[in-house]
Amino acid sequence: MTRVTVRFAGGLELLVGGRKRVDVHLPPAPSATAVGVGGGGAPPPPPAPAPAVVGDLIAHVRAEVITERHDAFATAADAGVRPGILVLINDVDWELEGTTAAALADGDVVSFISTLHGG
Amino acid sequence: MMVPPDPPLAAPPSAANGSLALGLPPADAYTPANLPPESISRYSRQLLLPVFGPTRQIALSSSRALIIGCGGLGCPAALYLGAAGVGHLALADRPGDVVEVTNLHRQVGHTTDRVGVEKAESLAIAVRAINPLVNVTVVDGSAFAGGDRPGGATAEALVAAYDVVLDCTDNVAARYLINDACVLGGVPLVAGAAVGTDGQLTVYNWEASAVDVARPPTGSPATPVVGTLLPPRKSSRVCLRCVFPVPPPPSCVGSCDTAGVLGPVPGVIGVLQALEAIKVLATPAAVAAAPDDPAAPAPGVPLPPSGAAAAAGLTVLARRMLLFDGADGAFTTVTLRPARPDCAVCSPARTVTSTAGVDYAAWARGKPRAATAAPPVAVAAEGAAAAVPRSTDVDTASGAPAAPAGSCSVVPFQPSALPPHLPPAWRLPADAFAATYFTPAGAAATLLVDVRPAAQYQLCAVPGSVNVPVDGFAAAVPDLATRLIGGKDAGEGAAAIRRMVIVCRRGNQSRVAVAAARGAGVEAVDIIGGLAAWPGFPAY
Repeated sequence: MTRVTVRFAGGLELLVGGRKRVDVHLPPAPSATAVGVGGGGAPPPPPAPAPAVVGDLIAHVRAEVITERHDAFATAADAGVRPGILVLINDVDWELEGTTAAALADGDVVSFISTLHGG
Repeated sequence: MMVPPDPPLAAPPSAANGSLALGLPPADAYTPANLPPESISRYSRQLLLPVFGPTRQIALSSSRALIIGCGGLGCPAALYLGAAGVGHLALADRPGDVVEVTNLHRQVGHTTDRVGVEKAESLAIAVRAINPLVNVTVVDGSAFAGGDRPGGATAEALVAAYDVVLDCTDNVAARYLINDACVLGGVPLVAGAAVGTDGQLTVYNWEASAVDVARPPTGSPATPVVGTLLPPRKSSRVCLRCVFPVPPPPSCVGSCDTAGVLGPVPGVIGVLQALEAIKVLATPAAVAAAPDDPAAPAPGVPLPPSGAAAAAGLTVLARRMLLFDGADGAFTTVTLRPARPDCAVCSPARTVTSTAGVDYAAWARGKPRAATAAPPVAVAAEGAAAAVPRSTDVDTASGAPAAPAGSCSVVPFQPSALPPHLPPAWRLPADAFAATYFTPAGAAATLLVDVRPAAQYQLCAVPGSVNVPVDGFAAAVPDLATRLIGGKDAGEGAAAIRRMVIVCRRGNQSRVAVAAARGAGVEAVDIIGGLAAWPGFPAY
């Protein structure tokens, strides 16, 4: 379980009922749970959980947090988010962190910001 | 022997004439040749600032800035840049884009008595009134609206005449066109945007100094940029396409015209654009360009100077983006990625080598080329937008959408980017319908359904209409259908059936609703052009 804060801005907050910050408890990555069903004897030590990555978070947010117009956040087939959304991990462009493969830690703040074009 | 009298205390010889009369040198004998006496007084408060001072004022006063878009961002940017004493300020907007009364709450360079005046002309009047020392010119913004004109200069040729460009436009196509022009022309670009209560600001095509991006990435150190086989570029000079290589879908673009905007929000961003431009321009030209990727610039393309401003305490907002949340009163500055190794316009692997012949409007709609280009719509746009569709929903009498509807990730949501095409028999002209609606028989025979968002309905509405916002319209059709039966004034023996007439703001969403109603078996019709075409209905 990884606890991260998700920020929505630039209009994306309207996809989540107007909430600009949402605390998300991210389930362990599938790779961490699929291992370790032992036979008799002492249970094997639990495997080190694979850290959740931003790709997991996007899928989770799309499925569990977004309440309307899900494709305006990400399409189901996307590995990332739709074009025009800036993704930040602790206020740094996710391109600097490995995009969808960036590992998340408790307390991280991941921001999804729709770019604006009005003026 | 005559002794000259002391000069009268009440009238010190401040004017040059007075000095000469006393045999003293003129006022400009006391100042550098390129900082005339009137500048000393006018700019004294910024000249007193150690981080700015006369050197930077001289650089600013000999520099040239181009503001594209004379609306909510362009007005404050021009007023402050002009007041600060930029040497030459060029103002560009789409020819024919005139001041409207709906602009005045935020476009503070315009005035009520200049409604109907071209925006660039109106703003030039305002800047000249503040500072007659600035050379203010009005530039034809057609080239930035995506319209190639035979014999006309390309956008990159136009911007190359300036030391900085401020993107104050209001639509996706113009923003990418201006970005490409600035990269190809070698000009730094101060890009601002605002909608609703949110604003964003960054400076593209300017080398970010080490100071600018001092904050290291969190997480693992030295994480490589993944997803590409090209080596990372050394350049910190990023452009719009580095950060957003693909334009957003039209259905996710909001505009001030449809989503609304609080006036001070673009005001804040426009003022900050002026500040960033001043920092860029005040960098002395003698400072050489910082080394970039050796292969990045095209031959002959100049690189703007960079880096020096940061060294002296003025840090340009390059490779960072400022986010303004006006609803919460919060500013955040975030670090952007470095230059994209395969950027389509600023990398050695570039595919965009000229803006000429590129249909940016079609590209922003998700089509590489428009096979049949939509005709330009004769509507006023805030930004430089002629052939570029503005991001608002504009109906045409033909029923063919000439511009993407203003559906957006900012309110109001709209189900589709392009409303359906309806046969002419399903559509009514607004003026003829209004004339019959306001007769007793006409009203009794009609169920007028207004599908605008509730906030707009509360603003102004046709008497007797009912409000069912388009988002929930399809679900409400069965209930509405029951209200079609039993019109109270139905004559004896006549079928007491009322007709469902659907109206919206401009005649786009009403088509969506008509299609939904007819899908449910209700033979609804809509009003061509919506309430905007309704005679006497308040314009907003």
